[in-house]
Amino acid sequence: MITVRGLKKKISKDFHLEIGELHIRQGLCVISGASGSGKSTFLELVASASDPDEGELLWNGIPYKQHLGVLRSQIGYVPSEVIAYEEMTTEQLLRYMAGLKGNLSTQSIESVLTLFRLVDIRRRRMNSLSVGIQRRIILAQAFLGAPSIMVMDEPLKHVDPFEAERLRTLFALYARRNTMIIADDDPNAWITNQHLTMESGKLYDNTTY
Amino acid sequence: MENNHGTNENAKNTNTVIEKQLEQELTPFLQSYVASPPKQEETDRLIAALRPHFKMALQRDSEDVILSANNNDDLFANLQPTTTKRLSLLHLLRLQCYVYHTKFFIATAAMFILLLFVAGSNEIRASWLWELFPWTIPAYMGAGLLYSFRSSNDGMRKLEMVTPYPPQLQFMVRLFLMYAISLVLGLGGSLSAYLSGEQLSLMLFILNWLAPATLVMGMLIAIQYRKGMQSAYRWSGSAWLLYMLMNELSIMKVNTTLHLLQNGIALTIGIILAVGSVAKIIRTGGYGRKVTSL
Repeated sequence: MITVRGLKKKISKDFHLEIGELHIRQGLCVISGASGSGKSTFLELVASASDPDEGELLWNGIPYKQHLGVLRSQIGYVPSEVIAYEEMTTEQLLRYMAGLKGNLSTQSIESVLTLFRLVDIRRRRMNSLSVGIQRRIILAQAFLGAPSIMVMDEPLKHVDPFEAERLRTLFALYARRNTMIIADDDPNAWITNQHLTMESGKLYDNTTY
Repeated sequence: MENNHGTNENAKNTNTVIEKQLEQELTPFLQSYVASPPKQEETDRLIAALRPHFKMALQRDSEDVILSANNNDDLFANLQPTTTKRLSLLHLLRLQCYVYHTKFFIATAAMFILLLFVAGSNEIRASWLWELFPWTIPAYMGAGLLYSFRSSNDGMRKLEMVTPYPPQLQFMVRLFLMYAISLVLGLGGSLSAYLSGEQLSLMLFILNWLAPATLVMGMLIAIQYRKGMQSAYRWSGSAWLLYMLMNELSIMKVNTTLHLLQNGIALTIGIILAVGSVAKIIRTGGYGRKVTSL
């Protein structure tokens, strides 16, 4: 479970994120809200990709900062826009990311290649692939090592509708045993356990099913 | 004609009356077949009631589809790391080589050959070599490091950041990798120049390019740790240019002692900055003042 306590982060003069007390339990949690409502900033904080100005985040009661290295090995993160190293092949990028995550299992790489239907393009370079397929590769890297926390910012952006439907199912299955936090403009497309709505940097609604 | 017209009008009126009468008679009967549009609350109630069934159906269907394709009891079982190597600097160093494309190493090899050729050529004056190396070696190192961050996209930086290897450590390893390659380039070129019969003191010649390269390396790592990468490049670049200006002056004056002193100071500062920053990076578990970002 992820606990948020008095989180504050200043983004600009006029905008800052402010979330009091929040618990995100195991399952699928979808965050929705208008553009600029603070979804991505919140996800960055949850994924430990940026520091809060105030407040803290805890994972199963342990503050993030206490064991950041260990915690990061348990986080799969997909930012909203990623441009990968263009000369790397699909397999090279996955190997690189797996290595950084401390996971050298070939089986793990083979598994994500199959799950995300990337086997046929494993030797293709990033710059020769469509944006949708590149997005799938970025999604695939997040699953390497089966992290307990998955943080995804608009994960299905650029992915074609048929593949998107399949991936939603895959994510729903993964969320049965893990914590998945997804920012998406269409929360109704997901079968969620928790739905957060954000507005102007604040948590507007928190519904648990 | 007029009579006919009047008869038609009467017939029309009679039909309308009959239609209205029929409609009135059937209204109560048809009313039961007319469905009123559902209210929002009713829709919400229905969705809430069906949600568990949706979930079950979704899980069943997905498992059927995906598991049959994989023929695996647990879809995600293979994602678990079967061998998780202990995190080490050597492992990180090996990983960072992925970031450098083959083209980069080909370009480096070409530059190395060119440097050997230039240094070994009898037509090149020794004084020119003294100026060439302190410019090319640190420039190559800085450019090589910058190349490793060529995907300026913030998203890729964040992906690399959310891993057990702290971002500061990743930067440090890339910098040391570039420094090591620069040393090989410089030493190879220096030896080539020395063996070609140029009248130069090998140790002084090496010190001449090693000092600015080490100063730039030390400044890059120390400032990056405290202020971030952009500041690191700005300050170390400025320091290098200033150093080169002073170098020019001391060479022009042919003041060997001053030149030697200048190189010695630069080398010492570079080493102190590098060692101090590495110690801090290791002591803080690889995180700079900002816990997460570069």
